[in-house]
Amino acid sequence: MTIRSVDEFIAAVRQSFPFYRFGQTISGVNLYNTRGGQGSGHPGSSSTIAGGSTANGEVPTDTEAGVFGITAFQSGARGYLANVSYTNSSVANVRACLYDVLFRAGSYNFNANQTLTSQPSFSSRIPDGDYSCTELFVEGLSTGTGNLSVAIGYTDQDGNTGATTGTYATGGVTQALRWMPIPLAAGDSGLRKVESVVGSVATGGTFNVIVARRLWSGTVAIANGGQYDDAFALGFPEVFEDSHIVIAASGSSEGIIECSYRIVNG
Amino acid sequence: MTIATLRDLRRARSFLYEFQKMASRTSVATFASTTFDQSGYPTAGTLAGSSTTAGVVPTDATTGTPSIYPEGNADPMYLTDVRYTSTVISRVILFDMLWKAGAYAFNANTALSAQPSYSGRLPNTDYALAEMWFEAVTAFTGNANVLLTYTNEGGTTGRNTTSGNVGYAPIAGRMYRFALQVGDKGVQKIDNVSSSIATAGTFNVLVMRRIWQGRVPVVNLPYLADFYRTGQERIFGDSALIAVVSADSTATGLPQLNMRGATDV
Repeated sequence: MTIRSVDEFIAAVRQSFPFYRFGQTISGVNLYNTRGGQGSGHPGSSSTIAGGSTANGEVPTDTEAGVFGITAFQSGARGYLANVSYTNSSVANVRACLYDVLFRAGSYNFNANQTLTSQPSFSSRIPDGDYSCTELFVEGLSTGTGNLSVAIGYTDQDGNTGATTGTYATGGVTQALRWMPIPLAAGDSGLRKVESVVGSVATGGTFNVIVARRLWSGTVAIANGGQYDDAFALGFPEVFEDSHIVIAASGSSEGIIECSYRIVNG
Repeated sequence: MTIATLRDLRRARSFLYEFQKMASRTSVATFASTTFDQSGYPTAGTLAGSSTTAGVVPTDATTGTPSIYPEGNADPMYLTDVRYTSTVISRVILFDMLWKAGAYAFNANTALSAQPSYSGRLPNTDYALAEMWFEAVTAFTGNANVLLTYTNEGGTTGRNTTSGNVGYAPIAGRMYRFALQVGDKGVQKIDNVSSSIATAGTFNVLVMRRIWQGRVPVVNLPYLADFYRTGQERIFGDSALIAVVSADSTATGLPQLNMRGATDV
């Protein structure tokens, strides 16, 4: 089923998630995953941030620590992000995004050279089979030495193999949970599978490779301000009952992030 | 019956609930402060908790919370819209106060037992919705360092909140939220309350469910959160609704909320 009317939206089953995080280091224009590391809050952070597989990768789900568990949807129902209420009580200009992390591989050393095989599919977490919504990141795990360059081979959104980012200079050192976006090859809009990971230039640091789908983004213009988006403002992004939803934030410092969101299914 | 269509919503019986506070308290800029004990409507409640050993489950009969109508209604009720304003630039957050214990002394170390359950006030008995909060009853001297031991959402006992030392001495009415232990997603009950460092002050420990929040960016202008924005959050027939204010400056001001709840009666 799909929610196709206001009536169906009103009748949909709701779940609320009162996310809260403080004490995590964020700095600058890059997003930082608030799932784990030194931050605290609700849900409790995760002590494990490194990926569990370098050779195959893994598909994170809502059962992992640091993210909320999503109650199973009704039989045949589809789920949607219906409401986001975001604020930062103490710091201005903190941008936050909600992502469903679809794939994670790591942890890789700064000089990794890894070809992946038997990668698990995340197709069940792609709405309507449209991979053009996917984004590629390097997620730092430890503070690196020297700026990291990466070359990531992948299968593109249409299933074409042999695509590559080329050697991309991220322009930064790896830091714990720092997400550095990796641009895809010209003409590509997404990816279905990560095929290879090569690190270079840096002389220290470890990282994951992340594929994620953005659900929402918002900004707190002034401290204690906020952004309150209903379903129509959000555009009804689809979520799944095993979605691994994280909040990634960027800014001069983290402050106290409160990001309550609601999922409906019907 | 559940409200399941726009027609149901339009035909539903609506009830108005109001917060109109007539006294402001000194607060800390951008941090939460309670309005529970401030005069106005509902009438001022008693801030200090009445039980340190078990806690209580406040209801709409608790002084300081609005009465939820109709009495005895078993049908689900939903928050459909909130019209709000305030005399200060602020955020206003509406909570259902699920459980309250206190008032604890600055040097408390209290094991709780026979805690009343609040599971009936959680939609789908989802303990991830339960937020743990500190609430200063009287001003502290010295930093608050409060640690809670709790039973998590899965029933695992012996879990501990993190980051006890907040690094400041809370003034009366100031609130802050506790952080769960690594890996936890919610709380079923609080089993122990301990406090240290401070040399004076008393506090409550609350468990609350977030119903709605809104921003007043310009004072005294009216704002509306319609039913899309409220998300039609569930209200129970005995919900103990309270308003918490996070002001941009150092006073909670006089928030005014006119809330509409709808039930299919």
